[in-house]
Amino acid sequence: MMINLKINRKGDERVLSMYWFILFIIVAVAIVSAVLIFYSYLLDVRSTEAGILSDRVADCLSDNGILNEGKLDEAVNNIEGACNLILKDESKEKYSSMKSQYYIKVEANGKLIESGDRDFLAYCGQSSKVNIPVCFEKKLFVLNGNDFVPIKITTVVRKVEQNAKG
Amino acid sequence: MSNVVFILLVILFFSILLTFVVKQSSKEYILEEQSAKKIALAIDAANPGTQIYLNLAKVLEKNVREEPITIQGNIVYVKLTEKTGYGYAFFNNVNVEVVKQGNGKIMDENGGVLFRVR
Repeated sequence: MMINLKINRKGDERVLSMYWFILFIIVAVAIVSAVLIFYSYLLDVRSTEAGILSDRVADCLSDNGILNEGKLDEAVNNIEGACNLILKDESKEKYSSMKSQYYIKVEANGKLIESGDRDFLAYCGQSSKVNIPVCFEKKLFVLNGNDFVPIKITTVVRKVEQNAKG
Repeated sequence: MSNVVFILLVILFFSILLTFVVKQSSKEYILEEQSAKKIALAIDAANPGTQIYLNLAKVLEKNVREEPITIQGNIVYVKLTEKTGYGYAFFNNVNVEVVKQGNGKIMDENGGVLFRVR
């Protein structure tokens, strides 16, 4: 009777250590795969970048809340020069052959300003945010004489290869 | 006795897992990407005359190169080893200088790097 009891206890320990071994393997695989998946994704900063770009355009076209008409007229012809921007990105070889990685559209005081690659505008409002350009829209009112004038700024940043897993 | 061995094995197992997670988060290519993007965004938001001070001690402790951070045109390059490297462009049309400290290196004793925007 005693011999049987000892054999059962050993058997229990074996089953228990086997159970622990399997449990440890499952935990290890889960943690390793979670960490690898997490770090395989690129850091997506495009929405922040598009936000900063629209802020720069807004600061450029208005001065303390008052519409800068001189700058606005200058920006109609060349927003890059007027607002001190470089919309050409050559940080990747693929980008060199492309028109731009940015798009800016400004509607203010009955004037339309566009710069960059207009094709990116088609991606704005899409539900999928993966592997497509990121859009940012900003609306503000500025003073022009005694009237409030709306300014609508739309900025789009592509840079898919650097910010989204593709 | 078997309990002690078991506890030691458990501690060893979790130590290995923790080391893996920590090492994975501080891989050179991840740090290069993060810091290049951080610097580019700071430059994008800066006006001429601004001085940007970023603490990059964690990044630069992995560095084995003479000049790990360079700015060429409108691209920030962070290259910590000979094999890796990452470049990210900024759209703000300004000149940026990575200021060298008194010791001839870009990082000061607190792990900070100073960028001068002109």
